[in-house]
Amino acid sequence: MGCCYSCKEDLNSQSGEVNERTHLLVDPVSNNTAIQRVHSDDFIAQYPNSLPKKSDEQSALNRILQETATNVIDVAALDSHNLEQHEYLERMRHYTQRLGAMGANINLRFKRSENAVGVGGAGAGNLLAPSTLGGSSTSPSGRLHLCLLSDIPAPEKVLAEDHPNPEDLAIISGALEKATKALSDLKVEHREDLVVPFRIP
Amino acid sequence: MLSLERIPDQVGYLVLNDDGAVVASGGELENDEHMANIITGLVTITDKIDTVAFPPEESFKKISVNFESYSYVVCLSNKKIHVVKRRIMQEDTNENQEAS
Repeated sequence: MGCCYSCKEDLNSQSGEVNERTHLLVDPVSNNTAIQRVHSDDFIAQYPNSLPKKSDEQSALNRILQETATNVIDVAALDSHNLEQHEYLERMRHYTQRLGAMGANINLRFKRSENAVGVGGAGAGNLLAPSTLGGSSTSPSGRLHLCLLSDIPAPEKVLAEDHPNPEDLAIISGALEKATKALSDLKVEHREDLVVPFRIP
Repeated sequence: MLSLERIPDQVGYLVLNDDGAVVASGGELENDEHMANIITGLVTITDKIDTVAFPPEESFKKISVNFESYSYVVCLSNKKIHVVKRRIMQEDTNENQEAS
């Protein structure tokens, strides 16, 4: 359909008849090419033996091609950087070295937190757990692995203790209220411009 | 769980495993899944413990949630959460939470 349409249009424009499909504005692109073509044809007609013009065109085309090639980023050519075998080995050695330097330290921290919390049975798979969890209990299963409470032997004894002293509760409530008020009053006071123009020479 | 029932002023108790499921219950808290979820959420509310403020060797033994006429006391033993609801006779305590 598109082809038929354009052919028809061409015919119309060539014949110069004015109908409802005739463009009111002249297409500048086709106009230009037409002029160009006529010009070069004239030129070749005038000097049929002069070949340098053609090589000029060729070089101009080459230049355009080169310019385009430098401006275009070829995504397909940007392949992911493949690690060579020796790079693997180099990195492995580097990591092993770093881990060896840090290993003793990590082990020490791990043991200390494990003893303090009293949760055993955590294997070497949890080597990094104490540093990431902030030295808390390291039980890998269940939801109690992070808990403010410590495991105690006789729960009924602790639970049967007297209720907290009302005065203590009042002090805690008061302190909490003050802290909440202080936090709600906290605000950032702006003194200088947040956006500063750099002195670009 | 007779030992928990013998606690003075207790009106209900719950024992939860480390997944928050009810292992044993009695009194007002009998099969109280709703309360079990709340308590488990309270105990595991934090995902990071500041070791400077709460060093591992000085962790809490119990959490008390105090209301005017009753309080919930929570502690951890043998990887199980023990909750006891106890009546408070005094009238001058406000709603707050204390950990000791």
